[in-house]
Amino acid sequence: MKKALLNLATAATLSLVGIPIATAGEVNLYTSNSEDSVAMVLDKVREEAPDITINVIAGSSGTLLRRIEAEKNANVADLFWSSGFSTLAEFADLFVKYDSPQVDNLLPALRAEDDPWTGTNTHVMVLMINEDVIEGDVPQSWEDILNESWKGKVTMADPANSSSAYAQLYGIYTLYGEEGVRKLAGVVELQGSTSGAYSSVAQGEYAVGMTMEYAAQRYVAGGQEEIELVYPSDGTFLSPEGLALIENAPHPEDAKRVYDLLLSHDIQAGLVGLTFRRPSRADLDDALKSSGLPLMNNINIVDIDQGKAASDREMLLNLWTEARD
Amino acid sequence: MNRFLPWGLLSLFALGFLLLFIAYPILGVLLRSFIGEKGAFSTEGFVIFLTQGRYLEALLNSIILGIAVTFICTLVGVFLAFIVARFEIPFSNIVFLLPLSVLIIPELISAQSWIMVFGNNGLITHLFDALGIPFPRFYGWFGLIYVMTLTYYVHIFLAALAALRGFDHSLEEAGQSLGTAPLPTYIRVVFPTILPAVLSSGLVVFTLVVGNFAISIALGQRVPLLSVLTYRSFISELGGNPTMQSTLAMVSILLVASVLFLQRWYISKRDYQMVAGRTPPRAKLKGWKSLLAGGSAGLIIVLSLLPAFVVLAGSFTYARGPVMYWGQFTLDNYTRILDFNLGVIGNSLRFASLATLFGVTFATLVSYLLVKKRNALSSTLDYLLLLPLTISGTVLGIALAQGFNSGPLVLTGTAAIMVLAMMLRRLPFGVRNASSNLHNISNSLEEASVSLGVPPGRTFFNVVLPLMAPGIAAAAILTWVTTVAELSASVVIYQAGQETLPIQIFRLISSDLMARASAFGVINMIIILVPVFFGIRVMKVKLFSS
Amino acid sequence: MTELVLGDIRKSYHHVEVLKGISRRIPDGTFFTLLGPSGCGKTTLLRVVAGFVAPTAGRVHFGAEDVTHVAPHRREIGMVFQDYALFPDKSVFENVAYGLRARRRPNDEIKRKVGEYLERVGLGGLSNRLPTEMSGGQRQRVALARALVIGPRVLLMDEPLSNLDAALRVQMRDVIRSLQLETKTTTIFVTHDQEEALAMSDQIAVMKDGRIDQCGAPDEVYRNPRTAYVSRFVGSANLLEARPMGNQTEEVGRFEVNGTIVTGRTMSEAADGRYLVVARPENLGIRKASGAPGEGEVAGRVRSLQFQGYRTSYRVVLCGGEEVNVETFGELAATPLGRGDEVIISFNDKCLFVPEASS
Ligand SMILES: Nc1ncnc2c1ncn2[C@@H]1O[C@H](COP(=O)(O)OP(=O)(O)OP(=O)(O)O)[C@@H](O)[C@H]1O
Ligand SMILES: [Mg+2]
Repeated sequence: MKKALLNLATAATLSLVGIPIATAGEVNLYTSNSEDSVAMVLDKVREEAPDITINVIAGSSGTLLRRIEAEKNANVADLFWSSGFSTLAEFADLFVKYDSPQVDNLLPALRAEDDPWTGTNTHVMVLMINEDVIEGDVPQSWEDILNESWKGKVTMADPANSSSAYAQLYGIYTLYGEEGVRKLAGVVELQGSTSGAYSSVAQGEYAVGMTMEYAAQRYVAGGQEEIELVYPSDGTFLSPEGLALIENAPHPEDAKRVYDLLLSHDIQAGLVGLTFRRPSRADLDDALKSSGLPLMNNINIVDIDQGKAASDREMLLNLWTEARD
Repeated sequence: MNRFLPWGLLSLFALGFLLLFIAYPILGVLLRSFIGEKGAFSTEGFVIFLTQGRYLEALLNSIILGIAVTFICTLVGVFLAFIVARFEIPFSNIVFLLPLSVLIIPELISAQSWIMVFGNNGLITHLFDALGIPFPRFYGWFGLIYVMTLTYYVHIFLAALAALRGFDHSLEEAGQSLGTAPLPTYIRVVFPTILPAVLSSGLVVFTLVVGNFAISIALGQRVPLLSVLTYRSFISELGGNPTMQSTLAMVSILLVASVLFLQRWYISKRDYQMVAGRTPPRAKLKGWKSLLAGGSAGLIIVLSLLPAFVVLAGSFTYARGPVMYWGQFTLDNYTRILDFNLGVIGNSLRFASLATLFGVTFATLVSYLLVKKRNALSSTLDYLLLLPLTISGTVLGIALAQGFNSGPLVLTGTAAIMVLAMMLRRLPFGVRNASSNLHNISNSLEEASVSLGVPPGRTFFNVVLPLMAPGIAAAAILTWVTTVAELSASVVIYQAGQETLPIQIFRLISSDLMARASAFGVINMIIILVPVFFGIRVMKVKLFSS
Repeated sequence: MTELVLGDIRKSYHHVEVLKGISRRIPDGTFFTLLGPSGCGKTTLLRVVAGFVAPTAGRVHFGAEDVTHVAPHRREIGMVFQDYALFPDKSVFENVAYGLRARRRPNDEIKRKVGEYLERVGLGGLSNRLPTEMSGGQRQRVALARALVIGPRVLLMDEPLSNLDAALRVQMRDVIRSLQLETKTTTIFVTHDQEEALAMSDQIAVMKDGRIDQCGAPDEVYRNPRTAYVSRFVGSANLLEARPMGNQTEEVGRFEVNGTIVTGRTMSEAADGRYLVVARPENLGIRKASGAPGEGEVAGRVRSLQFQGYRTSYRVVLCGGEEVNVETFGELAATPLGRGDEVIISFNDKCLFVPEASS
């Protein structure tokens, strides 16, 4: 009964939302990426696989994943592109493993060989500096900003609400343990949302923001000269994002071709120029340089176990809440 | 009675609809706020609310903000009404655009435009930068109070103006003849009599501020507010705690309900009838007084209408990512929409037109039942119709999403729930609009038609509906306007592929992409403006009569 | 053409009975008037006939058909309302055509009939006007045409003239009555204006507290009111206490009124033995006092008078302290008595006796 109603509800959704029911040669792509990224991908697919038509359903990753979950019994989605590994892990049973031939060209940390998804790009946590408001020396490491003297000048998003902020918190915890978390709690001011962290620094409210590379780089590339990115010398953390093939997808074969294309050299090179999101391929140094991003080799990276990060979540957030009181 | 069975059945239907889609979800919120994580009765939610500092802080902030904005709105609104009612000022004609500006410029867009003026990369911010003067930060109390005041003072302005217009001039003259100078007379004689109108519209402003979502979330980064906290508790990327969502929703229902109660109590204590009298003549001011009065009134008016123009300018401004290049013009922001986002416009049009259609049909039916066919169910209907007034959009969204995500009726994720959320919020006002001329339609008209051989149902369509038409048209336009601009409920329940213009604007603002948000904003305003213009100009609908 | 039969109609609102059993047979083509004070149930009864109010008990027959449970729109009635109830958004023509259109009559018939009825009510040229562009009298004529054009079985009018000024009211009486006579429509007319009732009706039913107190032709009700209430409500009457003297027969009664013996007809028996004499002003004699009053005579003094040429009315204080109105006509009226004159008032056998307590 309940299932029937659910189906009915889904059918009602579909008819109300009006997605064309896909036929052969089509792929239904659920994506949280910006329209211009999607447009670029569509152009590329038209070139490389002209027989495939892509229907795009765009939205934020949370709403998309919840929708895929709701449609489980009458799958519409073929591909989901893209969300953080930790978010993907929560919805892992929606996906099915596909071993793309492109995986060999990826950075090892992004291959996700044991998981039903593949890394497309990775966020790199940085310190975003607004030189107009900073007083004294620019901090060069996480350790620097844990110092009392930065109290009230550093901001980050609320780790309870933002997955990237949680990645930052977990990184600090990995590097400096409970002590580090307590120090951070004493220094940093929280923003309600992920975007709050970078927009408030760009606006000059804070001298330093803990945020993601791409978000800060947009301001630099946009021409806001006072913004500077610092890749902390004590090592920074990656927050990889991936794409996944949906289990029981209506068009699995065509979807796999698009999957490969999304990991291809041309598309990844194009995307980094557009979005400043660091690609998962290892062979894109030129593209990185021309977007103004440093090469991976020049960044000190701390290895984070994403699985452990997820399982420690409750403990760490409790510690965090307690430290902030 | 059996002869009028169709009306009884319809009342039953209306009652069932309201019970299912308003009472049941709200009751669900109430109950869930008392259910702990383990599924048993618990007051844990309220304990956390009272003990964890940030919740109480948010409640307190919301109340402080409400009081501050209401207070400033009262000053601005009464001042402007006083100037407009008493003096001949140069732009008195533009003043009549003001109430419209509230409709045409949704809260979200006024927040957006002021961010473009004072916020990061803002016009004025840049100007101050260039002059080397640090500009005070806009995100926070200053921005919240500033933008909310400019958005909401119109409510008080309209109420005060109506009261001042209706004020019997002879009373004032009587005061003057006793030897007081004009201004003290005014304050002593006139203000106390317009006080009820001002206070009651002030309470409306308070509830609007407390329930406000769009401005709060756009500008309240640093100030925890109840409405934003409620939203975040629900939308958290990492799955929220249902008890806490319900508890927060419950607190905001209680807050607004108690204010509404206060308002009703206050009104019931007063004789709200204004002596309709001669409208006092408007005085001509000379010299510096004229400059001062005209100038300050003009400033308020300009500031009220400015957002529309800022957004218009922003939509044509070249931007690289978040950085706007004021002065460099481009059509890119629009061509992008044409290329990628026609679906968003389609969603807005579809949801809003369905919500308007259903909402107005329902409001028409219910107002007819309540005014003309009262029966045993009517007073329950009356009360149920008050419920949407006590809940903010966010809470309504949460109530619907929680109420219909399992059980026999699953609506979560469907377009139906979007349409429902949009139409429910406007329902009480729709009923009020639709019944505005109903009271003047004599019962004997319907009986005349029935006596001539037309059955009651057809009589309704033949006789009553044409006479209700102006009220229905006003209800339709106002419902359209608010549903097209609806954000706070839909942002909680929309699913991928169901983004509307306000949701898209909200997302772009969150990513700091103002130029693109502006293009959507302009389209949103156009979609709002067309029917308003059509209604007022072509159909001569009176939007502000009731 | 319909005979209308009301069979023991009762109606209660919240356990208060506002119609207490009304039975009446109204012959075909009768102009039947419900006359009574505010709140006595006239409108309720009319709406029971129309079908807008379902009676708690009792039956309504149109001819042989029992319409008690027939919906109002199937009863084929015409109604005229106090507030005209014209459809404000429709022209005069469309208002009148409304019932015909509901009956799906062909267009040319509608045109012809509407034109004909508008002529009949004297509004020939105004068919394109909107109701708001017409005077009250004109509006009520439209309403009348609208009700009659469908050829209703029964025409129901609830105080149709009370929104008009006095002169118009008199004029409209003629319009309504002559149309009713022409169309021979059985009509129930509600009013609380006795003059209207007397001038227009075939039959008048005087209502009181949910009952019909008396029903009959206007002259009959005027001449022979059965109760004090009816006598007061229809025409004007002097009502004085009357003590029965000895046996009362059906036809002739002997009563002591103000110390003198008066004889006349006893209209109905008083259970408690308390009676009033009903003396219409024109049925009292008045002359200058000369000597002691005889049988059926009482002494008094003129308190005030109004001289109107063909008629003179007096207010006289009787020796017992009560006041009576007396009217004289013709020769007598032309030579009035003076204020303060001592007079003798004489009762004659046109006086009636009715029970003091209402039934
Ligand atoms: N719908 C109702 N509910 C309750 N009581 C009613 C209702 N309609 C009428 N009454 C009562 O029934 C009684 C008779 O009312 P009705 O309207 O028939 O009087 P009426 O003779 O037409 O008076 P009027 O001359 O003032 O029109 C009144 O006491 C009235 O209060
Ligand atoms: Mg009446």
